[in-house]
Amino acid sequence: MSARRPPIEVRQIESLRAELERQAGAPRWNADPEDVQRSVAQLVLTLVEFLRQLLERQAIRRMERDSLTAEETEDIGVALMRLEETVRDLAGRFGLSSEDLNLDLGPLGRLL
Amino acid sequence: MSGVYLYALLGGAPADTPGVGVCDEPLRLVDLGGPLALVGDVAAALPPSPATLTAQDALLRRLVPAVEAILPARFGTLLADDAALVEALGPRCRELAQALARVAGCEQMTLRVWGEQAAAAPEAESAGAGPGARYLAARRRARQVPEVEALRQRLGGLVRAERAERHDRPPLLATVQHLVARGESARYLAEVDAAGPALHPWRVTVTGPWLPYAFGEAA
Amino acid sequence: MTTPSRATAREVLDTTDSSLLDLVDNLLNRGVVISGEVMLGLAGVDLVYLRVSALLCAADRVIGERR
Repeated sequence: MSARRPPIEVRQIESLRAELERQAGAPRWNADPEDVQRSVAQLVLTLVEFLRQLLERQAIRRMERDSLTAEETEDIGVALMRLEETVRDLAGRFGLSSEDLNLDLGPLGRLL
Repeated sequence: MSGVYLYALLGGAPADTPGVGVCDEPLRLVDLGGPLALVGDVAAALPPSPATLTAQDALLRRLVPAVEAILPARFGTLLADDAALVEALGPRCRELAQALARVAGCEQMTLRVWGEQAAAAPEAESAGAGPGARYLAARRRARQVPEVEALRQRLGGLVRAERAERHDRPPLLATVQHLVARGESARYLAEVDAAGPALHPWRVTVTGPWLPYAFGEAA
Repeated sequence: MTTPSRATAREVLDTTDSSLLDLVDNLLNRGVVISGEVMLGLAGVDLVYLRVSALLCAADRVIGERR
């Protein structure tokens, strides 16, 4: 492995580092005793979001393989769209950002 | 907390003895019913640092001449014992075997795509597609990296598989990993250099070859 | 099973070497995740060990190909 390419700009490095830090630095889940309700909402929404992405990936794969009818594509699309809106709305009500819905899974990695 | 530290999954036993791990512990293999797990018995998982990450990557690189198919595990994967390892992997044995077959004899090149703005997403929907179908098509486009299409054309069959991810964090727009046959990285780099002007206004930097870290999952 | 603090993540990322950054990306963000695990806690006490691999397999069976 050799970095024989011309060095990349400082600004490029900074954005790459910011992206990796976002991915690698997610905390372990622990309910905040001051706001257990919010913590539980965060956990639940994170898991729902995890499943939504899984479903979305699978739906796209099947769409690309042409193994969905036009009606199925439309129905699944609408369902995923509504699911995304619902997660976003609920998260907003608890003051959770999309980055909050990103549990640390695997030994050190991110969930989503 | 001591346990069994997982380094990688192998498609077959190495031609010679696996050597030692990052804690100088002897490495051994656990048969998962097809794929083999390369593990070491450690007192504790080492925390990530440039030194420990480099050491783990270097250890796996040393195996490359002796093993066709290697799928690195995520850094820090520590399990209680062999039984826990087998239990964790059992349900996914078939997918892991498929992933190992996919990466056999291959290595990974990592492209970073840079620019001040993303490529405009082309709207290729047929008229009359409902909101659900349009949404799904948009979600699909969000996972694609059209900025490097000119490079893909040049690379052609050199690329066995691709994984792509958009970041939209200018100037970092996207990351693309390409799976190429071992030994093809020089040709790959030459094509990336030659494709430079055709990718304007976007720029690409490349690192590698790497072990196929990004190809453990299906597309 | 350890999780890095933000300080550790910053230390690891404190470089301007793009190859080292890609090394970090490969080892910490990619690689096979054998089982998604998270320890759930309340009031600082670890209570529940959640394993997501079981969830993944179930989801796979639910949404897998049916033709």
